[in-house]
Amino acid sequence: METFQNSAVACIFTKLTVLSFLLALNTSGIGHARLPGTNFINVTDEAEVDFTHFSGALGKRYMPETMGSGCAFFDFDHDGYLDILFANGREWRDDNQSNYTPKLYRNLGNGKFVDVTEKAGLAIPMYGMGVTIADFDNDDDQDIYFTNVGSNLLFRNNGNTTFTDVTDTSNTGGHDWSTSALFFDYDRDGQLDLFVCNYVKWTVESDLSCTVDDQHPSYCTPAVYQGQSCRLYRNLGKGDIFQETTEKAGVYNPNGKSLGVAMLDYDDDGWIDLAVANDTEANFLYHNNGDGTFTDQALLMGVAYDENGKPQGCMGIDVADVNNDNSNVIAIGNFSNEMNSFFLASAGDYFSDQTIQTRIGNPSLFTLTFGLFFLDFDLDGYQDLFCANGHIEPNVSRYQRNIRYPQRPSLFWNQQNGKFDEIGLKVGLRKAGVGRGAAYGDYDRDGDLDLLVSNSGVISRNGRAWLLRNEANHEHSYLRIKTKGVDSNRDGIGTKVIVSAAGIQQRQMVRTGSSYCSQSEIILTFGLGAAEVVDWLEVIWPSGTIDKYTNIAVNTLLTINEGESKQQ
Amino acid sequence: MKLPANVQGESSLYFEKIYVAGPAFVTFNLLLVLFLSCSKEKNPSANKETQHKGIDVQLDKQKAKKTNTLAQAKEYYNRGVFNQKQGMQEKAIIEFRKAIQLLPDYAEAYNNIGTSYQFLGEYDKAIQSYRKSVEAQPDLIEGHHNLGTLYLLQGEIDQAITAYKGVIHFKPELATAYVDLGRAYGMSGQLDQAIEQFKIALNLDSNLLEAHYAIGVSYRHQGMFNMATESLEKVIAQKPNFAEAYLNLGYAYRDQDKLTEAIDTFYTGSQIAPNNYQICHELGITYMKQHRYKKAIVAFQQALKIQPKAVQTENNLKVAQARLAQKK
Repeated sequence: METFQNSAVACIFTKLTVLSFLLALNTSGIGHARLPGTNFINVTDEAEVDFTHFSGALGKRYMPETMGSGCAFFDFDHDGYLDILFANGREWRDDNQSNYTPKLYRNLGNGKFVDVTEKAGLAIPMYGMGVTIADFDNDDDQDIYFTNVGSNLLFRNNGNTTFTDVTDTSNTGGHDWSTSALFFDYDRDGQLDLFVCNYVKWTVESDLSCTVDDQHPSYCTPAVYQGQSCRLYRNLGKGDIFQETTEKAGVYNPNGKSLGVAMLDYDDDGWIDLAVANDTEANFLYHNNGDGTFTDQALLMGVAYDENGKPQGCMGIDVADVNNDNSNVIAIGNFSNEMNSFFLASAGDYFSDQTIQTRIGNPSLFTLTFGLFFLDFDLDGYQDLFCANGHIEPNVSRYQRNIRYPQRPSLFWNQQNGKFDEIGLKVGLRKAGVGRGAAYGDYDRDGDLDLLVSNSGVISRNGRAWLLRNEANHEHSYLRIKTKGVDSNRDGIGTKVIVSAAGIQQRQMVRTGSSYCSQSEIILTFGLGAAEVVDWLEVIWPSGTIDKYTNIAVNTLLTINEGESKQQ
Repeated sequence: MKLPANVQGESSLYFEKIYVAGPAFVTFNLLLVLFLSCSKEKNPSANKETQHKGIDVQLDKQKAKKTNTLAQAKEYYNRGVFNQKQGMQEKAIIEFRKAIQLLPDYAEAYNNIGTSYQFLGEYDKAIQSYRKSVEAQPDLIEGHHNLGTLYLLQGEIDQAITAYKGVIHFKPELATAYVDLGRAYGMSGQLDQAIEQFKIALNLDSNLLEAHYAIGVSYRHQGMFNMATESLEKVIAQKPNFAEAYLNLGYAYRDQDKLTEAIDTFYTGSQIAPNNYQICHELGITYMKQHRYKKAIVAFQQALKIQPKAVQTENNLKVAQARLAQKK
């Protein structure tokens, strides 16, 4: 028997990036990592949430069809129960006649929801991609900004369970293909400004045909279209009026093909910075200069590309202090055959790609992640990572046998030693879907965080959304914190909260944005493990005010008003 | 069918072998075929008590004809192998086909047609031929192996796994077969199963270099960096000029934050293989992690000399230059 053998032997598997700086990790305190006794139960049917995403797909493979859409947990009627909102697509035609609109479900407080879209005044057809939600006019209720293909829409909450479209007066419509967005106060004037990600220049008329093999049609990748700059709108604090400041603020960059945005303060200077995930282009890290302008520091800081210097197909994004050591981690959901990204920066240092070291790399290699966020689902005091997965091309497995169109979600459990374990199957996340948007919130008010996932409806049977209730059977305690700004914006967006219990200090920021085209609840949830009391907590408001409290009882929702600790 | 760009032209441990049945193998099999066919012919006639002379003559003629046919088929086959080795694949295929016309179940000829088609980049036809080879002779492990390798090249990993299991079924003592199967599992992300197969291979042959290498790389991707280091060090001890082992050992050190060891390893690899772009690139990345931006710049520039259009290295070079400027 003869063999022809190549003499050169190359590395096996995909060439993967590798990393550096192992952290000196604090593994003491709240408790040793133990596999959580949690189970996520799909309660969509029993909760009567019957939303199915409509993409408008009729075989032409228009690119936006496979990119939507997002979802949100928020309390629109101020009754203390989280309601649900879904962005939705519609038919590809220019009129206002469509049965397909966003859907708003009111939480009845008994585990069930009811569709109140029409009553709330949100039954407006739009080709929806995402939502971001905050009290932009500081009147104590939650307003909604829908990102769309075409004009975006801003709805002011009237405070009586209805909304009014204020897009025209607010000047926030635009005419782009927008994706994720967030409200934040970049100039610290107490008014929430608006940052909107835009993807590529696309219209039905300029649509291009793409194939995977010169024969079979497929959804295009962004490579064939020009990018569109993100937009920044400054809230003038005069009713509903915003002013676009994209160029003036230094965030005009048409090279980005932006799909995700997260707020952070990576240099801890009190001014909110932005991390923007771009699809196949270099990511942005907009450093807030504190004078109304931003500088893109992504290249210098090490988050523009993966460690190899390669731009990734980036979608959802989030930021957290996963090691409870005042470091920042930026996690990004990437395309299939690319690992998700996990950039870590210790205080004052550059970011370093830790994807392999944290063991997030290999389990995420074959998934395509859109929605992605950190949450402490088992309340052990350490942030875990959830990923909503699903490919963009329904026929992908014909061409890449190891890649599936529907994919099950991933849940990376933080083992408290700098490593994560993907335990989705062990906690009930068995069903495959075509995940896009994803959000978390405690809709049943039992203290732990539940999940909401919107699935793509390119194939309508896949498009049913999921409400996944967290059924925890551990005895971990928690503290939930709601911030109410006075000098700062009413929601306290941008407020940093430090909670110290059992020797561990956890840091979180009240934020909008993150994930993909979605909005999680803005109340902060701190898991406390076995701790019976919070020793102290510190609240640093965007205005600079600091509130401090000691000996706080656990297992409660604490509402903190700006400046109140000084008055006591 | 076109291979993915990242597979084309890239030599890899996964895709290193095509088993071609050559003359020695053919001779053995032809003898086997002759033995079997003669036995089949002999047995019925041996039981007959009365044998007429005329019948004997006829049988002799048939035997002679069969022998001539086999010899002729062998001749075509050998010509095919010769042409294949000379790189004349089309001619080789013609000769193998002639052999098959004479011997329709000529499994080795089908296998070699598959190989020639594979050389020509006609992968669908190659797969068809390999399949015919194992249909004609189910225990032809070369056919199963080549089928598995080609399926793997095409990303059809489940089918590759089935084919490699076919090799193991017929030759369970063949250590390299477990390495092949393990690689297929590895490529599908099933690293636990991959490692299991590599361990079986090492139990059968503790010196099997490719098993040590593959298990080392797998351990690294599993985040088991100490085990990865141990395995890859064994590979280098066995084959000190194996540049890719230095590359992966460097990764494993770097994953453990052993940056000095990683730099030493990448540097040694770059001395052994001065034209290895990847090693220079990784050396640059590791210097970056030590905040040694001048050294990183030199390494990236060296990588760019080897691959001037490597955009990712250009990007990293820009990062290093920006950080150096900030440091100043």
